[in-house]
Amino acid sequence: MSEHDLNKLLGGFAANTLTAEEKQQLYSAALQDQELFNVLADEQTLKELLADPAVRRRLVQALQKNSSTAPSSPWLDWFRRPAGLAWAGGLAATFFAIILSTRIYQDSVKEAGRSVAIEEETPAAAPAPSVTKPTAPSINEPRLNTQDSAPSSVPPKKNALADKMAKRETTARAMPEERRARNSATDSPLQQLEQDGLQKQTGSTSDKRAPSNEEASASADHRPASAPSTPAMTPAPTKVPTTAAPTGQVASALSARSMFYGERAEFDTALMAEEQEPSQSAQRSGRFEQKKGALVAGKPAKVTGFTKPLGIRYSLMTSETKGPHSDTDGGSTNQAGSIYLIIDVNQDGYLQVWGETESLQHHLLFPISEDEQLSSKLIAHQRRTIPVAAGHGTIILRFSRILFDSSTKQAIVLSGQSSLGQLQESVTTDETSGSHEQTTYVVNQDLSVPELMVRIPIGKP
Amino acid sequence: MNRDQILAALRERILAFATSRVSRDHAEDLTQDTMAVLHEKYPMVSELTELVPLAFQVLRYKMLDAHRKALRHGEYNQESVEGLPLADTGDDPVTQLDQKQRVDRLLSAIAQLGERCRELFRLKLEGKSFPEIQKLMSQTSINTIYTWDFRCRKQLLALMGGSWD
Repeated sequence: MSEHDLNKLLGGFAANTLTAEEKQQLYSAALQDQELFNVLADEQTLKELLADPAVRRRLVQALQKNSSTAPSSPWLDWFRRPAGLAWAGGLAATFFAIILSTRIYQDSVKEAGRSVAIEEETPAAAPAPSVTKPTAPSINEPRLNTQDSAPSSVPPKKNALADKMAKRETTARAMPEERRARNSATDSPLQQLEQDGLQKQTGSTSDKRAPSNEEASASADHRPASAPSTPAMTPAPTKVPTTAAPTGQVASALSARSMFYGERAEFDTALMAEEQEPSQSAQRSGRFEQKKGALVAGKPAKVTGFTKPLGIRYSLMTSETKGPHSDTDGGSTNQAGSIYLIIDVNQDGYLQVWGETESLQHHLLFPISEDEQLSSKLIAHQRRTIPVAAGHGTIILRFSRILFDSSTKQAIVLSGQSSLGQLQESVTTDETSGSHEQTTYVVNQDLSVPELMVRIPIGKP
Repeated sequence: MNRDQILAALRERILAFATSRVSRDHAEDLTQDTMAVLHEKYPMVSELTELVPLAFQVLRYKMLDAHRKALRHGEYNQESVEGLPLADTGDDPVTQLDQKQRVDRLLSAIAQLGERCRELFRLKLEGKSFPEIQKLMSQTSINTIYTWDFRCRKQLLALMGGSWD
């Protein structure tokens, strides 16, 4: 036993309870250590005090009384020990950690459920061809599955993103009228009509979830990968089956519409969504307008270039449905029974519109013949309305990246055939009057071909 | 160690202890008086375990006597010897009061101790040795009992004002 440990024997010295061995050790150490000797000498007072039997008895009684007055339960004794306290503290910390983590988990599940509910409230924004093409590009399938799977499986980050997007969408939903008014100044009547129809459908679908699950999933499948995950308010316009192109149409998983709007460029996705959903966020709209402005300023090649297939979007309208506020090209005024051809292209290029009548085989309708121009330049995604006088049996559209010359004009027009490898798709939207407005997308899949030609039989666009 | 060796060591320790409490001259007197008692009155005590506590006891009495003598001689208050009462062979009332107050302070201090310390003191006052206390308190190591006792005694001393007197 070390000298330090010998100090512990002092208690036994005062109470005179040391064993013979302990006494031997303690006193031997005291003779060697002055400090220990001093302590023992001081303890002698207590030793003498405790040596008195009366005092001893009194102390014992006092101690027993204290013990009886304050009976300690084993539980309290257990808690008084440091180990017991450590156990209790650890258990309490674990308990609170479990409660906290459970609450956090429940909150995250609620948030995920809320974001999914918001997504479901706003019917999935789907490009129109998604309905007609149930077989989606395989690259998009996992994404859909992820969305369709349980909301709890959505990672928190994604939930946060979706929530943010949903909030943004909610703010944008608050000003659709303002945006519609702004669009009405720039968009064509057809687009207005489409948007009005779509908005009505949105209203109806938001109540009864009109798009079936299949449609929703198909729409989600066709959502471009680069498109924001914000669900659009698009009601997925009523589709007609893809009309077979007059010429051989290549079966493809891609639709003409999606190819028209492109798959890579972000602004194209925005454009497509812009066209489909009237309640798109103002932020995205602003971005779109900025990019559109950049396109107008002559910088489209930076975004699209020639890697994008040539595409035309056209629709035919009668003078009754077109409305009085339309802007027309070609220098003609509204005539009763005349048809208006609304054209939109996906990239800058040159356009010719040819007409065929029984009396006159091929004559140039646009640009007008008097201008001595064989083609008119169109800017991507700027719609043009071209009047077509009644009586034409067929209209031929020619759209090219390069200027037309007289030889090509004659050669192609006279061939009377559309280009090969074109993909065509028609989308019909319901109107309030019950009539249907049909928009057709024609895209040339062959990137090497700089020209696109569409033959439109009047009366059956 | 034989008796002479023990006494030699005791003398050295007693002198050092007394010097720390009183002056050097008084300390030497105290030491000499203590050793004289051990030599003359207890020549038969030769065991270390008996001789050392006996030396402590004698030393304490000698220090108390010296204190009383100083009081009598007026070393503290310079009173005349004639004014002091005659010495009684038994405990004088001052000593009795001193002991009574000491016991009261001890009781008060013990009452403030924790349950384990009270239990430990109770067992010690009942005459239990440390190994017995170890068994009664269900401890596997006797060092635990030593440590508890050391801490409890320190706590008790602190509660009594730092001195047993």
